[in-house]
Amino acid sequence: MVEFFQQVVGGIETGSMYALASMGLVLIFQTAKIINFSQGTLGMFMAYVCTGLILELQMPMWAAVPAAMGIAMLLGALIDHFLMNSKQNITNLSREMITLALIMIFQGLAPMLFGANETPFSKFISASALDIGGVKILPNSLLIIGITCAIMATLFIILEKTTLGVAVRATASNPQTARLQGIPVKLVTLGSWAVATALGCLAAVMVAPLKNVTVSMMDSIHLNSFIAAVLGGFSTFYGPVVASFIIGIANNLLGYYVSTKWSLPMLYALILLFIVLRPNGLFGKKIVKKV
Amino acid sequence: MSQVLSVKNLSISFGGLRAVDDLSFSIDRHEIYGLIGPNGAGKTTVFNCITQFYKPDTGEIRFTDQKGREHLLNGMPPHKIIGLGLVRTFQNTEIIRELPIIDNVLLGAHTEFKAGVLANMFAMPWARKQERELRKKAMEALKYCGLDQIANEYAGAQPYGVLKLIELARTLMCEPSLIILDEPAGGLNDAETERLTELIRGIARDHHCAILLVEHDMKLVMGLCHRICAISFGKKLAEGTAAEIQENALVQDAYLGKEDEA
Amino acid sequence: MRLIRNKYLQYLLVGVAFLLPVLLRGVPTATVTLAASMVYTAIAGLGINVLLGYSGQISLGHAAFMGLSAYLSAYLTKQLELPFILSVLIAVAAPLLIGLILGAIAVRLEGFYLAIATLGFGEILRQLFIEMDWFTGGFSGASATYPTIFGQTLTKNGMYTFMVCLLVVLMMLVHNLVHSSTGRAMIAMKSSRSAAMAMGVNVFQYKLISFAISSVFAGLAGVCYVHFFRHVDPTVWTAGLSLNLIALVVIGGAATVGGAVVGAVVMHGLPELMKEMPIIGEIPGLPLLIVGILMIIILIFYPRGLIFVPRGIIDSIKKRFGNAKKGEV
Repeated sequence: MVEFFQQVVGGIETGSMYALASMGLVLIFQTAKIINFSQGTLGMFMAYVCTGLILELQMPMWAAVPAAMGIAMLLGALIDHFLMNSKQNITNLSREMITLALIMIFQGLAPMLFGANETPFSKFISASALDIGGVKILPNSLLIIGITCAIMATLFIILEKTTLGVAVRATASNPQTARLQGIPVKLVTLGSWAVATALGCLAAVMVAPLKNVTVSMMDSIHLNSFIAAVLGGFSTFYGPVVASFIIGIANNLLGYYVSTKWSLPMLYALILLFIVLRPNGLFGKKIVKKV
Repeated sequence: MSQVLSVKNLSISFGGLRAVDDLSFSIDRHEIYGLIGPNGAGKTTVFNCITQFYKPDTGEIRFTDQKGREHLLNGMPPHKIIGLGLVRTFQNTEIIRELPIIDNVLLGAHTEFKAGVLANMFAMPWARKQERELRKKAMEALKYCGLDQIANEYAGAQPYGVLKLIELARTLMCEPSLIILDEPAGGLNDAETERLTELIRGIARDHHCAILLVEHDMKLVMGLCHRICAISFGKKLAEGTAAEIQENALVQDAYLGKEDEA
Repeated sequence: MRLIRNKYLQYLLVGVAFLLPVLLRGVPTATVTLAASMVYTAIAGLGINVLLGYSGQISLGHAAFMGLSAYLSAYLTKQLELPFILSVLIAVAAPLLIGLILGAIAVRLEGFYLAIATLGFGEILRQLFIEMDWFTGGFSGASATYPTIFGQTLTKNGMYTFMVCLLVVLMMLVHNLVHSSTGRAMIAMKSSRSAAMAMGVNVFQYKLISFAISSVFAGLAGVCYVHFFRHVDPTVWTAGLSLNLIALVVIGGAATVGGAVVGAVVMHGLPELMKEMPIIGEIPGLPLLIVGILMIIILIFYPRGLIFVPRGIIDSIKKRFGNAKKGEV
């Protein structure tokens, strides 16, 4: 039973990272109606930037991470402004392909700017594990889970309770109508890109101590955040977040009780099966298209 | 006279808003039938329900094909509708910009093509022959609409008025018994509208088909339609000939009066 | 002039151009190897163009399909000693079958589900390539031989010639397909789903068809790869390769038959060219960066792709020339 809880806690920790990344995906999907395939790569690049801030500029961790998130926001805004909205008649398919091109660009840039070697990245808190009824929890893990929960709570409060949130949700439900009602739709998508990129950056910085900073560090997080968004349903904000934790925990339990090697393939197969039965995900609604 | 389309007690809601509310009407063979109403009255929604782009909450939509067989349209996949001889256009024109005009029209004959993927891949002679024959037919449809001179130009480069005509020509490819036109004169100038009125009348006559249209241009509707149905907030206000509709007090309140102010 | 306009002849000329490295004497074998890389990627790219360029769907798992066919063909010809043609048929049927099943699930939904499903499935396949070492040889990979066709065992040049012929035939088949009712329906559903449905196009069916075609082409490309390089290991079949396939289609020219070929030549030629150059050749990641930037430039400013550059130049010269003539009169 102790092992069970140990796995669950581990799952919540990785689930937190998926949740941050999938929240970024859904923010952009809802407001701009495209899938940002470069979410993970941008996060990876920002982890390199953060490493650079710490190693080259000698910044302390508590300053470097927010600074990197700030740069990420700027980067996201620039991408939205100069690439996604560079032309009026650009199709959403082209926009998605631009995000694919961004993967190549930043995977090429990272080793050019920061070198091809793996760089270790220290944890936020290096204190040793706490023992709670036999379950060992690193303070760093608690911090990751805590930060994620705080950010999610803040985002949900903004989305549900503030005028800014209303603007985002109105844009999500119908950009044309939102524009006619005076909502600055362009600014909303710009903001979504900025926030999403910052979330990706944070997820990458959290992964960095586990995997070192490499070009491929975000690959599995990125893929799992996609799967979480599919499982939770792209049409809600909370669905993917809940699904992220489900995937994190389920992956750990399958890995522990069945097989480490095959836990992810099994999980994907299960989710694929689930999608056949419930195409819009756990919490999703059917999207009715206007003709 | 036999009916080609009958709509009974049609209702559909979007998130609590009743877009169409218990609407019934029917269209006779060879009839030109108009659907009018103020903006947001649910006219296009009615079309989308008939062609199964939307699945109505309640109501029955029945269509009688050329051979006199009756079909219940409810629940049919949208791509099966055209095969019965019921074809539509779109309010904002849905034209394939990447294709030449004639290929856009050929798309209207899509269900006629017998060749599958492999036959097309290996360019079987019989498949090529059918393509040539239908291309000829498409050319005739374009000629009918006065577009044969520019048949091979790309649709994306054409002005709005031409796009409307391409959509119209596209409907002629499937031997229709009912054509649904969603604001055929929207965005056209007076001269173009006049030509279009004649064209629609000609199509009904030459192709022996009924036409159901939504239009804001009252002159076109009143001059063209045998019968008109006025709706407001998804409900039927009145049905009758142009003269009857013009005199109906309810319609004047809901629609014509406001139109004069604008 | 009219002869040059004949598309089949154009494709044959492309084939002849690709055969130059084996026809001419004294061409280093490295050139043939480079050209073979272009040819197998072009074959996979042709399929991706049907999927992406013509019917507007994104797949991030086609590299895994290529890998699957490559491993299968290596296994069937070497371990089970099946005849080449038969093993090709089986090796290509596998991605087709998987593609149909995966497509049947993902294609019914919004477009992006296919991209995600293929990305996830590609990762599973890659894991299988690593784990199932009785079949794939694990990390060290599996080996294959030059194929024997009708009793003739091909040489390296022979295998290359076979690949070029296959490419030319496939280009002709794709040309036929896209200029038929099937191609029209695909382009229609990419451009306007509503119009396509209203005109009787079964969108689900056509999306699935294009996915199946692209899977078969990816399979053929994988077979070409394994029997030319005679070795296959799991490092090749990553999502990065799938991404490259998309990039080369976009760069070469989406929704054109020749686009994939132009894209494949650029994709493999560019890094080789840059390797030769001083200083630049040393920088890691530069080819990737350039391809990415090129892709964005094309997507935003020149969506027709590089294949239209020569025609664009000719047209602008003609225009100038024509204007000058008019001016004289």
